[in-house]
Amino acid sequence: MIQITGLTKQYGKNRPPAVKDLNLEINPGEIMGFAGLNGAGKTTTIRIVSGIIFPTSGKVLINGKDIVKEKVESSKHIGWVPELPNFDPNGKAVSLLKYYAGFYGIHPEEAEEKAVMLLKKFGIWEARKLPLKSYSQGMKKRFSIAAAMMGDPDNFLFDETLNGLDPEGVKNMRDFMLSLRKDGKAVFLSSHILSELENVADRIAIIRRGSIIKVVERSDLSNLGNLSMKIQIKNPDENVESVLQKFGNVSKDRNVFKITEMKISKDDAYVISDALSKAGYRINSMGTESEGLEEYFLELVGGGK
Amino acid sequence: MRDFIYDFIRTFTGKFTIIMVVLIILITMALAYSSGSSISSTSGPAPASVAYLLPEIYQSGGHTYISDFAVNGYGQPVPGLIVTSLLYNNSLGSSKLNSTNSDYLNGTTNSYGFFNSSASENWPSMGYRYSSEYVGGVNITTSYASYENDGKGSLFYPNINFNEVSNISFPGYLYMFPVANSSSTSHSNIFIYYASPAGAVMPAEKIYYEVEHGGFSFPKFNTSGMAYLKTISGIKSTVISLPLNKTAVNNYVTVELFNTSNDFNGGATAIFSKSVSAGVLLESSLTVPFEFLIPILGIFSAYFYYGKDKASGVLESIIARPVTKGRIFMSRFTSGSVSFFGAIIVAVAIADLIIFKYTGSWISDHTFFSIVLGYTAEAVAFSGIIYLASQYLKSQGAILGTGIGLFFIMVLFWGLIIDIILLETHVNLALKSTNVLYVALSAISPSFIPTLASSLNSGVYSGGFNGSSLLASSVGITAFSVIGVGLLWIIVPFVFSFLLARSRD
Repeated sequence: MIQITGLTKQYGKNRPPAVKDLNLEINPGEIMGFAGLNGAGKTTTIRIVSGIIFPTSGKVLINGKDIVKEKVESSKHIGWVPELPNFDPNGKAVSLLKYYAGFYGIHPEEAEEKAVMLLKKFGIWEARKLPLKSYSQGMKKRFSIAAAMMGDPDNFLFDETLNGLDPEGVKNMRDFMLSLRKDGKAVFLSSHILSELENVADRIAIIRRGSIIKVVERSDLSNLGNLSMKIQIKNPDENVESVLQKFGNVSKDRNVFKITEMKISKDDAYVISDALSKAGYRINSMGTESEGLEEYFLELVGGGK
Repeated sequence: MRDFIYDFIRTFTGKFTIIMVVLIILITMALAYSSGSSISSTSGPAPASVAYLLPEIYQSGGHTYISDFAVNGYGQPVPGLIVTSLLYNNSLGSSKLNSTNSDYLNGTTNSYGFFNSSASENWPSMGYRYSSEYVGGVNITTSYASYENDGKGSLFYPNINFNEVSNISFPGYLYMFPVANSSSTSHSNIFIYYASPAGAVMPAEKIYYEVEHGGFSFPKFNTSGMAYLKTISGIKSTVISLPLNKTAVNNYVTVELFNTSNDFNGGATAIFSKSVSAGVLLESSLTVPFEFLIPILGIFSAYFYYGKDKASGVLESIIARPVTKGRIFMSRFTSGSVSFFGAIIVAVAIADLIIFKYTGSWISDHTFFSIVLGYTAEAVAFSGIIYLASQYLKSQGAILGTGIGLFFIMVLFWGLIIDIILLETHVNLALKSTNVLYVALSAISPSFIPTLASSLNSGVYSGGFNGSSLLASSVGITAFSVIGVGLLWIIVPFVFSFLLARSRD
């Protein structure tokens, strides 16, 4: 479980805070998406949570342990997968994983077994004898995940991990994250690829200029932004628009009428069909539409950069 | 603590550390070989490989008893020496010797350095031919002793080759000669052996000595003008170390023994020469390669094990594990420092063995620690500066560039910079305080630490502004100042960089 409370990070006295009074909680078995424009504060937040940089103020608890004051204990429960993994370029996969395992107190023999298992699981076993500098970006990310898994942590931080991966890599990563959720892990996933966040995230926190401006629940993803309704009428005439104008702004495309800026909720949509029936119109199809996450995201953060 | 030890071991066994250790050891070994063989070829055989045989012969009850005592060039007993000697009837002449008028007395010295033998001979005139000097167990000098048997059990007086004067005022007689000083090769010790019948010990004798400036007269036969050292008694043999200072360099030193009535009983003299020991030569030889090597290793060790990883982000992949920034810093810094210390101490220890093989003498403790601590402190100091720079610099190039710049300024050109400062400030170069200032300015660079250590060791600072050699203490080089400068250079960069490492992003 990751608890972020009042987190603020300012890199210089004369610079605006990169993260400002940020509050989030990522629960076990939950994938929390983290969306924002470049420079919004996503990576800074994740680096603070991973213990790599210090917060200016606020607190980050990992399984109840303070990442600053109880760094060693809290880091045991964190697995960090950065956007651009950076390892000893001359290191070899197995020895490097064994080195990391040492910090978790894992016995060398057990560490070797685990390293072999993880390298096979993430498809880089064949490259185990090569130095990491010869790995592709995708391989480095897979190695990075293996490294994050060495300590079998309860919480995972993925910082733009999907960037640069091919479709197969994206799918594998998606499946991997879902398996983590299934295993009861808390996953904090920052990504520019909003469609992927939509696919896997239970909640999506949208950050703008260092502050969380919205946390979208998965159940709300299909009901984001302004509601509109499209109605196809079999026998329209010039009076249809007057009937529909009571419910919002009406536009027409042949026999399809679209109501925007609706004055009623989605759940009250049946009122429209009643009104049309009473007026003698027959309805071919009728449905509500919400804005997609991307439109909604851009509406929230766009122009605010 | 486990994480600290874990990372410490990994760094300690890192490739660069191994390369560094091997490099230091190989260079030191090569220079030790050069120093040892050079000293060996110029100063004769090693004192430990030399043996002198000191016979003591007397007659009693119609038998002749012989006790040969073997000592090495340090005045230490030599066990296991194969001794060959011949006791013969001296009245016949050596050409007529046969088994009836001569006895071969051959054997091996015991663990105390003695070879005791006897012969049932009572010739009126006896001769004793023996091997008096050995090198590596091989006889190189044969000596003779002769004796007219007066039937009273008197002693033979061997014709020995040492600066020895004996007196018959007591039952035995003295072998007394200079021997090498194993702990300080700068001057000789005096060896005294009291040869007496049946192992009787020496009665009380007072030791006087005098440094003979401008020629010498020996023996003096009286204590006038001589300094009293101490009284010895009840001994068979002893080695005396004289409390001489540098004023005795290249002068004769006379040592004489007087009994309690101030009668002269024996003496020895030797030139107190300021010879260059192999250890000092090694220290001097190391200056040239180590002047460059040690700072470079200090700088690159810090760069490879910390600065580079920090700037490239590799350190982040470690810090994300259950370990703190402070502990990673500590493990890297201390493993580097221990590596320097370990490499240098092993290198000098091996050098010591090599030098001993060639010269028979060990590097003195002071020289040993002067080399080890001086260069370790220098390496740690340069390393610490790079650790400190790594806290501020964000790119690998900047850190490496700082290291190279540091090397140029603080190693290659520091002396020149000081010269320019002193010349431009028009200080009076003749003043003693200028040399003190020169030393103080030099100490601003860690590259000066080994010079401070060796100057403290030798007592002489030979890098003054005008190139003169000065008494180290006269320019402020004391144990206090050298230790102070060394500790400051180790502690200050370390503490500042540690505090920054654990508190900065």
